[in-house]
Amino acid sequence: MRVTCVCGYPKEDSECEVVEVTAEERRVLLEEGKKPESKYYWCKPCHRALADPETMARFMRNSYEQQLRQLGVPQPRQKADEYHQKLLELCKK
Amino acid sequence: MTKRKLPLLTAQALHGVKAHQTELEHQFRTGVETSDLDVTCRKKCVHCCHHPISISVLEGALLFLWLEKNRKWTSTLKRQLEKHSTQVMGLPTETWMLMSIPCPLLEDGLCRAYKARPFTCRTIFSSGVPDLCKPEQFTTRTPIIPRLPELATFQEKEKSYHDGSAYYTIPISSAILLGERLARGTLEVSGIGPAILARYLEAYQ
Repeated sequence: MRVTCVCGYPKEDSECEVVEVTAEERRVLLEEGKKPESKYYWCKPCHRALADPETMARFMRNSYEQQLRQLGVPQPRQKADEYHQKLLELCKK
Repeated sequence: MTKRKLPLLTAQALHGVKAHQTELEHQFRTGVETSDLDVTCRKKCVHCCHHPISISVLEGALLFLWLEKNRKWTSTLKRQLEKHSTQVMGLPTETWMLMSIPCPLLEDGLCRAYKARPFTCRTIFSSGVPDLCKPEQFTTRTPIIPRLPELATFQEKEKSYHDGSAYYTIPISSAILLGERLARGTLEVSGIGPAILARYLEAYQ
């Protein structure tokens, strides 16, 4: 059983998509001070839905706005919209 | 409903669910109208159309029959439903909510099947700032008028028509697609449970 990324539910390996971190991604994560795993487990429905760049960008935008609101950061919507715009630009590349 | 001859159990179930939908909606709506609550829902406000909507296959069949009767059942709509179903089947509600995926029946800010909308949509009313209904702003402070007892009563009534088959609510798109099979006679009420299970297994392939 794995606790999956995104939804955080326990799932069997057969119900997961496994994302392996490339050397380049590992380097970037380490530079950002993170401790990357060698593999990340996503439940298949989350992976399928978020494989669509628009849905992924919207999901990240909304999660971000929710966190900003919880932290009491001013102008959460505006900040989340700016973040969303950046994500959409990244999707176009 | 269309003039298609449905199997007796299917026809009974659909008529029963439709009757409960109308009766319980009327009761709930009357309760809201006679209360002190100020309903702030307006036409073309579509925040709740971006919430996760799960319904039974029987309600899905009612929606299909209405869409077909009103010439709104098109190959384009069916493709949209299939895409939506593939995207959301098996998704946990919290994740689905944050994805803000529009209901596949939403078109130009209006519901294509408003007159036949499911019970959960018929009974959702906001009594505060509408923006708080947006998926990304949805919290315990979201002023949706509580309706859990009414939803539970409706679902209990729906269960009684399931002819021994397990009762589940599934994403609206999946329910309409299975509802189409039910209405076309290629699926029986007793086969709803296994058909839903097959859809779930597909989601994990």
